Amino acid sequence: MIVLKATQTQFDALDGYKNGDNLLKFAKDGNDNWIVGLQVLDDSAFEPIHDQLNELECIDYVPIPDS
Amino acid sequence: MTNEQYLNFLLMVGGGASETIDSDYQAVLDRSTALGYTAPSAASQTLQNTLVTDLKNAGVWDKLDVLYVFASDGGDSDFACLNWKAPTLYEATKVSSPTYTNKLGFTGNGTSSFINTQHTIGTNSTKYTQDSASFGVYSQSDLSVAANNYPVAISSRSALKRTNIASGDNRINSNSPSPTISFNADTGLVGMNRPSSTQVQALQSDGTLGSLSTATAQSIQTNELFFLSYLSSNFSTAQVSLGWAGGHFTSTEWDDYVTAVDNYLGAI
Repeated sequence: MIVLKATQTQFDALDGYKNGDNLLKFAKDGNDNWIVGLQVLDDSAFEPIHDQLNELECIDYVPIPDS
Repeated sequence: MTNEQYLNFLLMVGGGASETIDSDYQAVLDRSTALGYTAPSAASQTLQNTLVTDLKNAGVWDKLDVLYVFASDGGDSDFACLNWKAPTLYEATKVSSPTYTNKLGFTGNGTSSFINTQHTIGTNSTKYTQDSASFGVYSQSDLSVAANNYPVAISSRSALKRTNIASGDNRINSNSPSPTISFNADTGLVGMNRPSSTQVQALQSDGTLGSLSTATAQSIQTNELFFLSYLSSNFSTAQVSLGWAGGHFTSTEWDDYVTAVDNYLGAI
């Protein structure tokens, strides 16, 4: 599965962006990367930050081990 | 014609002259209108009104702190985020774009998306207490599948991880070690029930209560009620149509709750 990876600078700029009931929040993957699903690219609520989301790196998702 | 007038008209035309819009459901519609959300179709509104009155007649409504009805016909994803118990409070947030599907509800992506109710159990809750509590969801997805882990969770002491899990990870106000709580079906309306300070059980989608297991109640860990995530660190791919938190249910109340929700979701 492909997800979007943020650098720390991108994370600092984008994490917590809110538009109405919609919130952008990055999660950690199994490699300790800040990631978010591709669905945010098609979400009209995030249209104002679409260009910044498009700059995020596409990577293969690494699951977090089941605890 | 306002939403209320139109709905009353439809109820009258439909032969339900004695039916009226429940005031609590009207408050949901009013909140939706005030915020500019897209309300469900008139037919769906009639069904939703029936759902509310059914829950009230069953004694379920008064036991709920929060109720989110994600699935409707024609309502948008914003309408789906309203808390029916108090529409001006604890409107849910769609975190990182869970997918919304008409008539079905929200689906998680398994990596980052979920629903945050913004309702903090232990701070905002009055029905959900240490010794009397319940929470749950209506899942369209098979909750025995690991990818669908945690359709609903509050804290490490209160979470529904998986319906078939052979460990103590399905909990309600209890810490590890907890008893294994398994379910007799993997879809539909399911949840966790704590009817006393010493016992817990599954709320099963066939309308029955699971066997009582011993689990001493521990203090509530104050956390927000999430759907499709556990502590925003684990994420579910399940599709959920409804969710709640509140006090515990008796067997009759639970059976009536399942019937009312099944009737509603089967009709939209």
